[in-house]
Amino acid sequence: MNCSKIHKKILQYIDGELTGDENRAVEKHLKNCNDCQNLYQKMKASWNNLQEEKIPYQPFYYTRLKQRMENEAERKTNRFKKLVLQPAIYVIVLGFGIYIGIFLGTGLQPTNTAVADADTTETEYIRSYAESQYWNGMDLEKIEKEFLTEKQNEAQDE
Amino acid sequence: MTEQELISGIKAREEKAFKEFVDKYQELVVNVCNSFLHDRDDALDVSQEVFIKVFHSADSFKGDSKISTWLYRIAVNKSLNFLRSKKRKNIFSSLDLLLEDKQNNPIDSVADNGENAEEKMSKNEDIERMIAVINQLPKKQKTAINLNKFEGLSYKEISEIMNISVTETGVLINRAKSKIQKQMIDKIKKNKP
Repeated sequence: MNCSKIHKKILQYIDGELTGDENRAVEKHLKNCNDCQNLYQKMKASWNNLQEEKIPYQPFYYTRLKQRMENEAERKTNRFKKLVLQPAIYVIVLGFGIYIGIFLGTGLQPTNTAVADADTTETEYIRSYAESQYWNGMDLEKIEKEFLTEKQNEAQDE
Repeated sequence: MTEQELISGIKAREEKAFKEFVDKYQELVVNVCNSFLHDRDDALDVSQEVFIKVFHSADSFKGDSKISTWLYRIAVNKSLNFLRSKKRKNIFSSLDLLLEDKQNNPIDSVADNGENAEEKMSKNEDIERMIAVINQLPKKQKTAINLNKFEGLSYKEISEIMNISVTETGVLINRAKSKIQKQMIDKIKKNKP
């Protein structure tokens, strides 16, 4: 066996997975080749030390797990509240507000006939008020004129 | 309680059964996760996810396979998912570092990664290199070699966990070993003085 063939079988040799003949051939080569022997030693050290030290039984593992499950359940409830419940409440309140607004607005508006009557009444009232103001104005003007003529007469008399 | 009673208890949401189940399989699950993640804290974290999954999906366990096989399957999947998300996070964090052009304060970075740095320093360089090589293997090869090497499972047990034939398991493990030894030999040769 040459070096490159040995390189391809090193891990299988370390794990004892080679057949008897192959095993003997590798052993023989390793005894005579320093480079391959060094390589084998390094690979063996890394491969065999690769097994992590096992994590032992954790006494408070279940308590921590339970706490995490409770936290996750709470987070889910909060997420439901935040993403579904809260917007739903906002929409309902907003909708209710709009409805109340429309309802109140409709209640203040008179019916069609009432509007027509109110229009006429209001126009008439305004007209009559304006006329009274106008006549009053005219009256005032007359009185002023009378005063003026009175004053003029008195002056003439004197 | 027998295994069947434990599963029935978990299905009925009995806390006592779940506690006993967790206590019984805690070491197995934690160590399977650790064989993939090579980090104690991550392994403990992911193992908890495994038990949460068990609690919520106990109904899906039909009893066709052993409980340990089912647990191995969940633990392997959770660990691989964790590795995938960690890899993605690492890519983004390295991108962030590049984009932000951060001024690295060596004292801060040592303080932030104090535990990691200590762990890394204590680990043998060659072992770290080998772990890195294993982590780069394709998913199936990585699963098969981890279960075989770290958990000491037989080809038959691995084939049951991975839902493949025993022959396929052997092929996966041999391919994984070939890749590991090739890359390790290349690296050892490169570092040769």
